[in-house]
Amino acid sequence: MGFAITETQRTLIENVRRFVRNEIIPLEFELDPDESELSPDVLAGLVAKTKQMGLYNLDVPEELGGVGADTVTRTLLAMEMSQHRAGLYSPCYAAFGQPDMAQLYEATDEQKKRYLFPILRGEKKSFFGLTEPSGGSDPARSIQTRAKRDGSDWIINGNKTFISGADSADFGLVFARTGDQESGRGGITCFIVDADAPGLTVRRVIHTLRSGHYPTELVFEDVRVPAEAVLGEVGQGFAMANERLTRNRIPYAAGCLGVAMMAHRMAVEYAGTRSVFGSKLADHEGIQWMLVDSEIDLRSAAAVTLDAAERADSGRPFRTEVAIAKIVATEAAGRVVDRAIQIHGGYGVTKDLPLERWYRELRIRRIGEGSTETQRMIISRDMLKGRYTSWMDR
Amino acid sequence: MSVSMTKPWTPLTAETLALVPGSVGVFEVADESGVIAIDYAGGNSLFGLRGALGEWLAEQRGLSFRYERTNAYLSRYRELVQVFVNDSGAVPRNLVGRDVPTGHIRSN
Repeated sequence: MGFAITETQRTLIENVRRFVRNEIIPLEFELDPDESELSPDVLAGLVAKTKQMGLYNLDVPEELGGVGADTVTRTLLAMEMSQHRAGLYSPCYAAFGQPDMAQLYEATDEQKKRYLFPILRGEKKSFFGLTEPSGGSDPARSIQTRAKRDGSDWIINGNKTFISGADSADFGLVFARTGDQESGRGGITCFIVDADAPGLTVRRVIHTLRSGHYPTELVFEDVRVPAEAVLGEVGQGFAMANERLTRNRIPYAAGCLGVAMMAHRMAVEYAGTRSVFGSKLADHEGIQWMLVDSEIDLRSAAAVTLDAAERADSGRPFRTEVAIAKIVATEAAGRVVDRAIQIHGGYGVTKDLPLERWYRELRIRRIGEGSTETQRMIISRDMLKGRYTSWMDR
Repeated sequence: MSVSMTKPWTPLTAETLALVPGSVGVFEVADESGVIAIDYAGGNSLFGLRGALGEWLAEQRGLSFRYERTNAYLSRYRELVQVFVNDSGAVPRNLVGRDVPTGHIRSN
């Protein structure tokens, strides 16, 4: 650890911060407090601006026309992009590009033409079909959706649950078992499935604490896909999903810190203006200590998150660091927003302020993208497997 | 579990409106031809479902309504609209000319 923000990163941060404050937050005054989408024409106007800033498709490699931001820069920007009401699950309403589908970088030329490039141009939407009713934390064992060969085609049968965006997607990446149930990681294959494929049904929306950006439930009944629908190699789907999930947890953690930073700033400002029992809230020790605890939470969580990002960029092992960042950031952000609500009193739980939305949505972050308990298992496995190495020597 | 709203219809009058809660949720409005509106009373609404349905009562007589009180009003609204559009092939009258949530969900 020994992190310093570069001049270039500072400039990028300031540009994104200005964009959020001048372009995004004013829009939200007119939207429902739970909204996560903009009308297509408003979004197109924002995308034109991020393209002009040279920041559209931040995660996408330069050779594919994206920005190719390194993980540290991406992490810093994720902290800025989430600092608005919808920011946790819809940072800047995807004005900086749709969520990354990095698996498609491994696609064949034909697959890239049909799926990746339309995604990068913002013309198509996709879903990531991994989690099943049998479990999401241990996909290697819990995936029961099966794909069987039929001539050169594959026939897919099964169920997926908690799949975001499938109701409005054009296609999805669907992970199915092509080996037997005992085959574990090596028996899972990734398929690209068109959303209008006969036999694929989006059965319902799953209504959760998060109303704007919601998950759905999918059913596959004899869905026939050609051999060309296999993404990567047969039996290598788990490795593909796992790589994506691990790396994505870094901006995922950073997004939590972004909303928590904004909540903390609101709490500090409110404490300095609101009077109670003859003095400002900020004059009371009970409030001061809450604010200090939040400051400590934010700084320590930012440090471990940026450490994970730096490791990911350096090519060193980063799985443990990412798991630590995911736990620390999601839990710290929840505490910070909780304290900010407490300091705001009754106003804190109203829809007049964004705090109640962040509070609800942050609760999901301790479960999504690998629960806190799953992250602890990852850390303990790394720690206890072979000879223990302290963080200083890693 | 049905993805469509299945509650019975209630005539929209001043008396029945008074019994509607002022909380957030989704609602449908119908006339003799069928469903003419699917909408929600969200976090910015004044008097929630009662306020939103009151606007329909002020506009037109002889209507019926049904509602669901839910904090997940946006996701439920998008689900109801998708089902209606996919099943009937038409957009409810209140959404003509507005951004209509599109998608693949239809009734089970």
